[in-house]
Amino acid sequence: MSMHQVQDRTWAVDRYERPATLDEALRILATYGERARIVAGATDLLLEMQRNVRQVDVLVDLSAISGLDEITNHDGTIELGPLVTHRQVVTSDIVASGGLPLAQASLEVGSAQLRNRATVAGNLITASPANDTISALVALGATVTLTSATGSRVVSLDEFYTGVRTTIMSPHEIMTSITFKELTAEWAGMFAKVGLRSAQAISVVHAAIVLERDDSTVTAARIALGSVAPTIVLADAAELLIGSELTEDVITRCAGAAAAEVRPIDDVRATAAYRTEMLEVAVERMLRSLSAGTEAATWPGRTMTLSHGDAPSASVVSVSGSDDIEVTVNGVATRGADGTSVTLLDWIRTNARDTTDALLTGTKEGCAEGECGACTVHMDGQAVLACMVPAAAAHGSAVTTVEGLTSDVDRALEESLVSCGAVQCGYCTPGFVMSASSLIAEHEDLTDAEIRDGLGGNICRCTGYTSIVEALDIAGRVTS
Amino acid sequence: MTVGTNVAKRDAWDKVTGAARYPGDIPVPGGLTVKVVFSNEPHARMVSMSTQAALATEGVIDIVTAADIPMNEYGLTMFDQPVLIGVDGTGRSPVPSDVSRWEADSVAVVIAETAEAALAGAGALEIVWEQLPLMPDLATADAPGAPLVHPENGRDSNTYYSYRIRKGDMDAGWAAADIVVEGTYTLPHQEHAYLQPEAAVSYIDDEGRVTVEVAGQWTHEDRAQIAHALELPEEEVRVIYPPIGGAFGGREDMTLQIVMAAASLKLHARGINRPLRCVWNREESIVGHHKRHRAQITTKWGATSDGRIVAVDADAVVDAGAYNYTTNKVMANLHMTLTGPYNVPHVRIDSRAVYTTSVPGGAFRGFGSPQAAFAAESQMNKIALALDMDPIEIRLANALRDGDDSVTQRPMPDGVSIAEVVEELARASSWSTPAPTTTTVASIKTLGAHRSSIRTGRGVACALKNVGFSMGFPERCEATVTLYGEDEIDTAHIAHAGADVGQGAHTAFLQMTAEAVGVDYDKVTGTFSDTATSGDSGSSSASRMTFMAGNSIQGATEEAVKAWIDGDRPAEGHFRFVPPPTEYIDAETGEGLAVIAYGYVAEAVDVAVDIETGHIRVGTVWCAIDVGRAINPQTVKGQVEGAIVQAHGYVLSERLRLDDGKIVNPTFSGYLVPGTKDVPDHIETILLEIPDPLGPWGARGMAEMPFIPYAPAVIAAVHDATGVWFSDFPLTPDRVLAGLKDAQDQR
Repeated sequence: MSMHQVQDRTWAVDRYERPATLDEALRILATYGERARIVAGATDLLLEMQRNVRQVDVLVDLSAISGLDEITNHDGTIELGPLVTHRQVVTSDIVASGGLPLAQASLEVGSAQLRNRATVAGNLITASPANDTISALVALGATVTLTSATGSRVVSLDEFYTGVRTTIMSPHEIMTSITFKELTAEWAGMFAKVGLRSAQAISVVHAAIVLERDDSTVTAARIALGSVAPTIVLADAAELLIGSELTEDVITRCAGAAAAEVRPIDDVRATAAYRTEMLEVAVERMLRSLSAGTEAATWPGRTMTLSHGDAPSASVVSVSGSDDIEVTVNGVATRGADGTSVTLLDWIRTNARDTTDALLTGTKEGCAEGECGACTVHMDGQAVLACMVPAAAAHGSAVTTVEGLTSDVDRALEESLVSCGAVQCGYCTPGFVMSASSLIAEHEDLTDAEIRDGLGGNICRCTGYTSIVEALDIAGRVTS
Repeated sequence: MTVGTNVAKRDAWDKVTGAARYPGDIPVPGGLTVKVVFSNEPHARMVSMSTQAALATEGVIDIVTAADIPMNEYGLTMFDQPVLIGVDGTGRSPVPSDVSRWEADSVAVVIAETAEAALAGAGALEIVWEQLPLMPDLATADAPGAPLVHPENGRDSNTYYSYRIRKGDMDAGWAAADIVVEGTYTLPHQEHAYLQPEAAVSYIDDEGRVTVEVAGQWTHEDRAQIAHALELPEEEVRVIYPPIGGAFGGREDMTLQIVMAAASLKLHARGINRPLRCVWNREESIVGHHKRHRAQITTKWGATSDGRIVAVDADAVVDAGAYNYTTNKVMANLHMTLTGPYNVPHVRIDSRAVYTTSVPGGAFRGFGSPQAAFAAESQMNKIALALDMDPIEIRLANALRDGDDSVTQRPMPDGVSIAEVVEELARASSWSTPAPTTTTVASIKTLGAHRSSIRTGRGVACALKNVGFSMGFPERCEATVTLYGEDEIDTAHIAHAGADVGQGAHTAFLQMTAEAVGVDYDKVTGTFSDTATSGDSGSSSASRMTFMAGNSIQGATEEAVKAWIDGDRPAEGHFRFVPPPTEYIDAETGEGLAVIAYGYVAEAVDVAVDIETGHIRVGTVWCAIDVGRAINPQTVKGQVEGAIVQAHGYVLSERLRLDDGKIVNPTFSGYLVPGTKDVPDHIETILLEIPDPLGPWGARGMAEMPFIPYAPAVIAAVHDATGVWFSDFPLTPDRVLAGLKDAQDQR
């Protein structure tokens, strides 16, 4: 008999390596080949291991290597290091002004907690056709640098993919850089997606368009379409725009032609027919928006990141399955085993204790796939999903759980949640408290829409959210 | 006065600081881990199972199989389900234990030192199955000559339960009708998605009782079923509910209770007394417990030209799944609400439940009424449209009133308030003079709303819902109140078994005790949800807990006050509240006094539909609800908002996918419950307080009611916006767009 697949979600690796230099990381890859895997946020990889999509023996974490988490603009070329997170992208002026499609796509990835950990490079390498940043970067004409112990190669991103979740990357290579040309005045671009809910939606279709115009005549165009084929489609329909103005006639012809190029599938999210149709509608509306110059109209003035800035650089570590790891939990240095086979969530619940020696179980598992936010903790000042962090990745970090919130501001927040009736069954509540604590610390004078944005990664099944939003509204006003 | 005030929930501070310990958080020093192994077979006969290799796995302590369950059967309203599937059962139950009828039937319980060892042991079970025919849905299971899911019940088809209503004279009804509207409605599954996945701890307590700490809805029923399956006196079993992470009906039937007790007893017999813990992951939770029922309803309504409903004819077929769970009771509610809250003279209804080899259907907020209301209220809205009548007016013209007979041909319980509720809804929502809607939908991310393709509309629906078990099911609720002090009563204590599933029941108990005794709320303490300390409360379901518990608290307080006057210090009073009995309805005519109390609700919504993408946004929801008396208005409002958002997911986004009876998307990334940005823009709650004659301080049950009219109200609003009636849901964008296209093609 075969066990029901949902009953085995275990994972384990032999080693977790956080080397000091890129050369050392490359040496590990050269040694272990396919059995090693680069991790940054590990948000995709952890799920792949738990669902037995991928078998890995050694995780190689680059976060101790300095300089890999920068976004720069050198003479009109925007470069993202391999550790740049989606949070960094959505708060980067460089990207907002010179690569709007990437900024828009990054804001549509997961929740704020996920964006604090997940990297753009990781999103590219997972190579799911539903991954939002791929269409944005393909439309931006991005190239990626792949580095191995024997040298580097620069590859156009549209030639990087070979199929669903497969790429030309060899197991010995690290994606060390993502670059694209800044969108200057004559250029414009945008990203859009159709999903089944308003936040942390997996794309039904997504698309990005980048145009160059001389006056109003299109002189160059790239249209990248996602979730409609095994890999991102760079549509030939873009040719129809060249030499024309974006008239209604040109727009509808181009959108129709783009839809004719794709061959989507039926899956749990939508039918193939619906995808094709949505692609046409999306391209049409995007072109109209670009024509009207409103492509940035919904880009928020400030983003809700649930973070107090960048995480401190990590220390060099090498953890094997039999080693203890050490995490400072609520100010207490805590040691425990199994860092290479459990998530930070499980590790906290089985190792961290309060002053009465009771285990800290306030951090909850609701979904174990980063969807519900019940496991939200603060890791080095950022709200993260503890179920999406391999415990070893927190080695040397400072983690705060719901039990560790002691400031007056946090106390006022908790009191507000109680007095507003925002606590029913209460199982989601610690996660909401942790997200809300970050949100109130991050911004003053939050609007209801911003509160809902900031809490978009937390699911409550009891309250309907009204009372929770009200509680934050009151707590925010009291403390600001 | 404590009743009627917004005291903060007694347990809220522990929950907000992370101190509350749910079943999976309870420390088990020196404990062992339990893995309940699913069969992974939707329909198959077990030929053999060897536990030899599993028992030899390092770290495995023992394995519980069917052989360890003396009476291998359970079920809340009928024993049709084996506790464990196996070939070595005692054979004492008439239910064959060697057949797996859904993927989450369990075959073994592996007890081990660690989770890893338990999993390894589970993987080492050697089982040989013989495949049996799959009947994963009504189309296959209800087909003539379909193989039987439960041949042991002696029936010749998979239909195993049915009800009828024969009221008035259908010929006379159709003769009086000026118009006839027909409809067929398809109802989907819904997953409870409570945030806390199933978990339990078990041990032998210091008085030798096998004890299970678990999240459930009815401690004493859990205890009774454990005792039945394990053939123990009930006194030797103890069930405790620690904080419960949501329920919504999803914990009314059991998951871990019996197997955890069996595991602790098996080890105890070997002299091992280490506590056990089992925690399910989200996917095990979704695969492993029942759902809101799928159903098919075909119905025909006749009305006079002035809008009087004169005849209702309906056939309902309910997909029970592999086991009954509470299907027969859910179906009774569905059956008795297919005419809505209306006085209809001529009625014929046939409802039946069909076994399939699929996930069982069972209790879920609304308990059959949402399915019936979708059909009934859609019919009402279609008739209003056909007659060019206002949907509020036609409802008032047909509303049940005091003194009217119910559809089961007995007088409605006094305090019928559906007309008042509908009138209040119309007033509060400015139904006759609506403000222009600003509701819109940004269906494509980053693009904002696309004005030219947005259509807006409004819809309304209303409902009634029974309070209490009904249909002759024995009702009772016990409370013990103790008064402390010397000359005057200083403090009071309430002991009650009722489950607080997050709705605030325990806080309401404390408030009602304070009110009954006449002391301040903070002078009352409580001991709750433990079969060792309280009598039977009945379940937290059927919107009954505040209603029944309040009556029991009033009675217990009276007894305690008598003892106090007699000089007892402390003075204890115990009371077992038994409301007026209800009757099972007649098998031929459906006659009977099935219900003794109702709650009434009406809702209006406005929506925006993007007709190019099929996305829908709900703007404002108005909910008028008669709660009789709000014991804690803030908590009541929380139930309204929570129910509406849960119904919002039901009608718009929550789509459970099955393939050959197996759930394809048992995850929160695949099954989409609403998040902060998906919910309606505004929820306006309007509480009416028209006392229920039997309710404590006049309170009615209310926590299910706001769920019920939401789906048909949204469907009506979508019709108002687009001109298209949808007869199935959830209205996912692809389904909406396909529906709009079909309608266009037919024009």
